Amino acid sequence: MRTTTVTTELLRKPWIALLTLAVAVPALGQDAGGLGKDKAEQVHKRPPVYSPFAQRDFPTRPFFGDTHLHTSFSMDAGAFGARVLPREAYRFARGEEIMASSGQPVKLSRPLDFLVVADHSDNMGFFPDLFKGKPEMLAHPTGKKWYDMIQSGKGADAAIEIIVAFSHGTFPKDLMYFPGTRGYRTAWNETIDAAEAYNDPGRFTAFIGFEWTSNTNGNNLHRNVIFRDNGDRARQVEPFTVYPPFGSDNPVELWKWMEGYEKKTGGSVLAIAHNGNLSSGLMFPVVEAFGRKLDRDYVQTRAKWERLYEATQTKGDGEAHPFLSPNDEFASFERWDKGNLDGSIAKKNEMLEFEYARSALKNGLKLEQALGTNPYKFGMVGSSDAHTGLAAMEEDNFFGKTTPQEPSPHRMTATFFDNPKTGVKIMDWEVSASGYAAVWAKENTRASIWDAMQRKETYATTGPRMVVRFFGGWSFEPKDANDRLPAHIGYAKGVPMGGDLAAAPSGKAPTFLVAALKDPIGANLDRYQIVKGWLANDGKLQERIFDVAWSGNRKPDATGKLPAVGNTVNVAEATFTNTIGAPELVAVWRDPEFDPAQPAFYYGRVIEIPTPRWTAYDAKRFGTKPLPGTAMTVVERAYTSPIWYTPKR
Amino acid sequence: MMRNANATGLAVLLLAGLVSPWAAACGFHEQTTLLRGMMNWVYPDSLHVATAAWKAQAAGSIPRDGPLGDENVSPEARNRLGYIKAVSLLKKLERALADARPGESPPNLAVVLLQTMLWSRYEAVDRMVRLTAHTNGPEPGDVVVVTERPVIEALVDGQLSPRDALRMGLIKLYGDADARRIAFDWLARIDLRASDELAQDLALHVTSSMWGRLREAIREKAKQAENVD
Repeated sequence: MRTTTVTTELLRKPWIALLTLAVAVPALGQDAGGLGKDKAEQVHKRPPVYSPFAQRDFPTRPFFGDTHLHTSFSMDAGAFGARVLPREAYRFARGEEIMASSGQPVKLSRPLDFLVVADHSDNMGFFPDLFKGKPEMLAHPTGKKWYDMIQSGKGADAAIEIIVAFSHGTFPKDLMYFPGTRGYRTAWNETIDAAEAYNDPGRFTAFIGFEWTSNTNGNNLHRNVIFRDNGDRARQVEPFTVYPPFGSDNPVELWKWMEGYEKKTGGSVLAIAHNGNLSSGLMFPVVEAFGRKLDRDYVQTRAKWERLYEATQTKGDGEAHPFLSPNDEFASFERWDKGNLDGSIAKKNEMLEFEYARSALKNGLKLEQALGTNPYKFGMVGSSDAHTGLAAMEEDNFFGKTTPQEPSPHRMTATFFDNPKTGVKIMDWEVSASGYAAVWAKENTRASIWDAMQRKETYATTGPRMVVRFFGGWSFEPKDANDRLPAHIGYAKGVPMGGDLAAAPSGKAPTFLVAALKDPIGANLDRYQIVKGWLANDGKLQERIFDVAWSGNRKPDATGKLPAVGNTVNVAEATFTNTIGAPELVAVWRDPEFDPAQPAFYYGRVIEIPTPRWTAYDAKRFGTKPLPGTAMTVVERAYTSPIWYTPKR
Repeated sequence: MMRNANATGLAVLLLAGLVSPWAAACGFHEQTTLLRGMMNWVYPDSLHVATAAWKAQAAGSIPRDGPLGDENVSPEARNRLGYIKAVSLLKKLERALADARPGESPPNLAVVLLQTMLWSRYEAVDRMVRLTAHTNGPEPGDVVVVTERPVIEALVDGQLSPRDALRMGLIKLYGDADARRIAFDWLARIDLRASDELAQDLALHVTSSMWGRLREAIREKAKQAENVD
């Protein structure tokens, strides 16, 4: 890999403007709405005023949140022992201390800015109701029987009967919470009520949402559905499910439901897929889906509804895979690549291309040529998928994926998942303390954050709250990296992450203004990379990673490889120091290999210096001896949404 | 009936064999994650006991989980060793419960060790207490005692008093309120710590053959004191 750095400005001075605005100032009182290049240019060309911040009209800080959190309303979360309800989940996310289901107090280091409680739509709310003895449960003979067993002291037997009923597929259909049933409606109303109660415009956004959980044959095709709207609209529908006859496991049917919602209510929804790594190669198809050949309708519809992808979460990272990207030294990160969601199908290398974000972004370029629309023109977010009601994804404050994985001396050595038939086995230590979604919105409201998601002005982080800017344009100059207000220049001369570059001016190549700030209470940064993917003239898809800004005085070697930043982690003590790396990175980079005839995408990847993984904190705090092979350090990172270049047809 | 192909995450996990529920499932023989999780609903907040246990271990109030054999021991053999150790402790508890059995008819106790989900029952039969280890679970009318193996170990070794165990959340009782009260009193009577401390103080002056009689005498004194109250 050849490293090309046009300008690498490593500014050691405080990056006052962006840091201050990004971290400290609540974005109150700003107007909502999208920001295109034209609008930004208009703003930039306004008559000058003394204050550089007056009349500013672009997002000034990223809002951090979780678009994918389960509470006890999710059937599986409840079965794993989660008792945290949606209301408590919102309280926790906005910074309150609550009691975890395992009976230990828990609090975030800093509040999140937004949260989507996205409980599984199938059987939503079933678990709490079963044990409450609600009338709809007692009306069914089996429900009454289980309730009576619990009341009479045979609760353990009831638990076994419930599990057996599910495992044998004999769970009484009439007892399940389907759309149209009173129990389901009540659960959905409670979900909405919780979001409404804790939505606090300007301070904390509580989105209404749910997860549609298509799992046929154990292949993960899940999507989280997020409403832009308030309860008055969301209440007009009930979440789409998977069980027939009310639902379907085909994403096409979900998109129809979403369209129906918008038509019926005048509202807006979007869907975010996740965990392609557990889909057996089905997440990003290029030939057919559900037995039907991909056509123009499929690609257009998918591109319309699925504008983001959850590229990192507790069940592994989904940005890239070393098999697909052998030259990417950072591709092997928090991998879950042994099988599908239930381990019933072991992984084969030929599946990988259709499971990871980078390969999907590449294949999307090809599909666009063939079908006119790129179905995989998605932006990036990270989120937790925690089933604890706790969006606690900090390495030193990690409360696991499920309630049994909440902190204890046992979790580092326990088995999470074991399918002896296929040999697919996942240990609890492999669960990743990741991640969060960062959204460049103008204010902390449902509308503003949702609109920013829709325009893909987002990035994924694996947990740290680093501040990342990424602008593309045709005229960024090296001196732009010296400006202390890079966003002013970025919006004026280019497009932000998630945007498009079209119609390359003659003789011009894309230029990028990149900037990143460390998490204020986190680790320094190692480097800022730009990942480029393109469709070559021979019809082959290519990718390349460019180091564009890095810490220290490191020099790339003859092959272009940048020396490693080093490692200060003391695993035994679970500590690190910021004596390496840089607190901020900023640079302007020009694509040295640009061919205006080739469609391409570019996205930013920001790499932190190595830090202790949650397993190191556990080993230190509990005195637990890690199992052989346990990862004890982590290289946290962020992925920006891409900027696409599309040649003029 | 539900189609497997459209099962939720839970059902898929179950179908995949993450859990194969069987009548007497316990952690020494089977995966028990979901059974333990459902305990938190059937016996509300019972999982808090697990957290209380590791906190007590960290504080040195109860023993840490010691290694079961060396690294060459297979997981199956380690499970067997763990099971044998747990049952041995439960038998010691049986003797202690028998010694402390109250005069009134006590309820039967169903003890579950959370980490392994090993259920056992102590039945008050005639004037005896009979342990059945590794049962399906509680029977109607039982008082359910949720705890962890190191807590039992600390109790039977006299390292921890039952009252402290209850106060520290290391034991939680579930069932009918009156039965729970009786069970609480019963458990409280097996306080071996105080008697052992006193016995240790006196040990310099008594022969080992006197040990049992001394403990009996202390218990008798304690009973008399209770009757006076």
